[in-house]
Amino acid sequence: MRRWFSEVRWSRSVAALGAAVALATVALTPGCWGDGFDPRAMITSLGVVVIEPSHEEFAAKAAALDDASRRLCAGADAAPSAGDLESARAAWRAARTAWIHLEPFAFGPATVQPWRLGPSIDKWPVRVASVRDVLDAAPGFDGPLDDAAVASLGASRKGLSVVELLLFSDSDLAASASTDSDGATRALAAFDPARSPTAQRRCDYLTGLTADLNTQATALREAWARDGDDFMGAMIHAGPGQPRYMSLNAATSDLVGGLIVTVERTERDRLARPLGLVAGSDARPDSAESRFSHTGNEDVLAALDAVQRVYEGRLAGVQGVGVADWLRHRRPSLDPKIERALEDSRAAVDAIGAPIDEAVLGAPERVHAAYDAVMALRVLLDVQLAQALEASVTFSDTDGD
Amino acid sequence: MGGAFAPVSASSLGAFRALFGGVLVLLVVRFFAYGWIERFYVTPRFYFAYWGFEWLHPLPEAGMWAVFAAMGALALAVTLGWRSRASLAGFGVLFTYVELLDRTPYLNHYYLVWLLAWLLAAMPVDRALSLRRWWRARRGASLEPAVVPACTVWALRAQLALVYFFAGVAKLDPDWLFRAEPLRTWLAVHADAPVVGGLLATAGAAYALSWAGAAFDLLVGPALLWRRTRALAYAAVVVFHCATAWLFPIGIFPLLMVVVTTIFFEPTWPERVLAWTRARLGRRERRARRGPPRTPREPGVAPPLSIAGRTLIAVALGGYFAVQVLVPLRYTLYPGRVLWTEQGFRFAWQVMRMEKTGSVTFRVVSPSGAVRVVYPRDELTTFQRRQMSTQPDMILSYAHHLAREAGTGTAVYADAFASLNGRPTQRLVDPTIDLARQSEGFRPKGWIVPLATTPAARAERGGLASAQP
Repeated sequence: MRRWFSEVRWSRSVAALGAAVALATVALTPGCWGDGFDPRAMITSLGVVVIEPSHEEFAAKAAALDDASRRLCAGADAAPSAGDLESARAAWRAARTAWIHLEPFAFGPATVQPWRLGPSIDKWPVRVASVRDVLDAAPGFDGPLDDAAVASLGASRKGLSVVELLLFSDSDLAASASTDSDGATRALAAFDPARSPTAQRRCDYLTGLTADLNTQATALREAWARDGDDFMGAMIHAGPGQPRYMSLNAATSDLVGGLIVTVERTERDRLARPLGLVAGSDARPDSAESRFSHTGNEDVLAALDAVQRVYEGRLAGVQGVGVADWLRHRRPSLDPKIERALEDSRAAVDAIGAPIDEAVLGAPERVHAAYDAVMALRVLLDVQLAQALEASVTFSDTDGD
Repeated sequence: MGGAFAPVSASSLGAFRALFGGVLVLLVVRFFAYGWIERFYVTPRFYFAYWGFEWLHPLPEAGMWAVFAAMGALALAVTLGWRSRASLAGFGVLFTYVELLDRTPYLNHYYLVWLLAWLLAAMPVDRALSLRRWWRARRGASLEPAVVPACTVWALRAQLALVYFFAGVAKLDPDWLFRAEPLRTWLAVHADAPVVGGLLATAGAAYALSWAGAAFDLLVGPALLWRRTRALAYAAVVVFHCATAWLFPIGIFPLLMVVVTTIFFEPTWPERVLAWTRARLGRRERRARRGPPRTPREPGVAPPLSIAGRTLIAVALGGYFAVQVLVPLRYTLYPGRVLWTEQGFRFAWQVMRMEKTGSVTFRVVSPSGAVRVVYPRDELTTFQRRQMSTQPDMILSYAHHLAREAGTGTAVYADAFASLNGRPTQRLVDPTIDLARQSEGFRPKGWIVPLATTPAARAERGGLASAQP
């Protein structure tokens, strides 16, 4: 027993001595004192400079789209004007771009309960047959299309993709009625009660959809807003005991992961899919996003802009703290590579020279070049950025080692 | 051989069983609490079964929940000491089944749990600190002597010493010693920690802790074995594992090691602790009024083992430890860096060795030449996708899965990129090799692109653009 006690006393004193020596060794070892970067400050800055303004922007554009669609469908007796149609189309393009700017934040309110707002706002590809069921009052969809009825429809019959189809197609939902003057005339006819027997129902459907979008966009903004559900606050105050983010690393992982998912989604759905690479087929222009408006290229550029906003922490001339600032503390050599990869991707998309849904048939090699450039960006972010910022799931999904 | 079978107190083995059982209970509770049963064994649409065990499949959801519930019940029985050997064998069977279902959640300490469960199942672990013994004593039934052969205690000590030793040998690596990776990357995450955060994020701290960690792993086994350094070594075990528990989310590993290394103390240590506790609580005086104080129980008389029995045990232990020595060293038989190729990485105590990230897509080429790009995110869970993207054997398994789904004559190529311990990204897999035609198994995987250590070598071994078949 005496030996046992003496072992304990000895171990205590030696352990204390060892700990002191270890701390002194570390303290006296040359090296900088911390990397001087506060990821929490970065999240706060991104919230103020990028995330909240981007959600405000989308809510405003969704409201503008709702206004424009109601102007287009305002007169039960008067024919809609070409100007009203073009205004509604422009409002859709603006709302679509604003929505893509939110793609890096497609976590939290966009995907989890109690909000889970993403699928109702944007679901691709659009199923034309599903939309036709509603327009033709097929069994199950034969009730009046007021705003409440449209809001209750499933995600495949709602959202930006369906609004695009209604605004950029003719009464038969044909894609040919898109952007040329003849197409616009036929699209306009689809909203004219004098020229199309389904015009009123189409208008009801359209205004119901934009009203729902407006509601969802407002809800999304409120979910993030500090005076709303304050998801932004949950990220900023991430740490032990917090219900949504139990560590700061979890919050930064979502932000960095959002960049990677945005780029991969762009690579796969906006470039590889219309090239036929996902289906293993010839080019599939009908699977291109925004094919009715021929704005698939703008979608890709908007996604790259969204990534750049978060990466650089800058929006509308306001410079905050972005992921790049953090990276420059951790691995400065990587920052110019990412900036270059973003530029290369943008240049490759610009070089396509035609809407993606047309270029995959006319100049597929250019779309392939854009696909390669975006893939290189994805690999850079997925491998290097994630590692440099320790945002990988190695130690966050489950126990390590 | 006589010393190996000399009787020693069964107390430390009983305490080991009880404490280990408690950790097993915690392990199972965590699977329930964190939703891992559903995430790992219900949600996935594809499982990365170990080579040779592809015939194993998860049970339906209710079945998997039942498996884990049964493991929890068995772990509790082990803790309490009720039919412990059968419970350990049952736990071992179920845990081994679960672990063999999918390589994705492989962890070194889960492997250690396998080994210890099976080892203990072969030992007389109920002879002390067990509910069964207490119950039999209460009923006046005959009791086996509270002794066990010394080789049982020594086998557990040897197993744990090997874990630390090979973990230390694995750290004698340029990345660990001369680049302080991956600790440098991991510690930087704690820059915002109170008081010591700034310190932890320094290069100096990463180097100091890397070297200290390697020294700890290499020396702690012998230090625990030597009586004069044992107490200090155990204090170091506690400090080291508390520190790793604080710094890294490594689950039950620190607790497991703190608990199981008690086996290095004298076999009578639980009796001494109990006696000391009783003394502290003043029971000694009360007992003195009733009779003489209880002294640590001397080993009883156990029936001697036959020569054949001893030989059998010696051969079994010899074979077991030969495997335990050779398996962790098998990586030396493969070309290339083990952290990059991961050939011989598992079951080898390569603990806390690397920060590796990757990204992979597949090109599935039909006999007609049509190319289909497969994004693993479409089928795999995020955790599976992440794990696969850095592990060539998992990439190969998934390529075979894609080939099977696509039909005869399909070729599968991988555009796989990875970065190891802060190095620039490079290709992990030769993009011109049809993985559908590569076989799984233990033979060297020549289609893994060697780790390049210079920019020129990286450029030579493939850029980031997609490769065309």
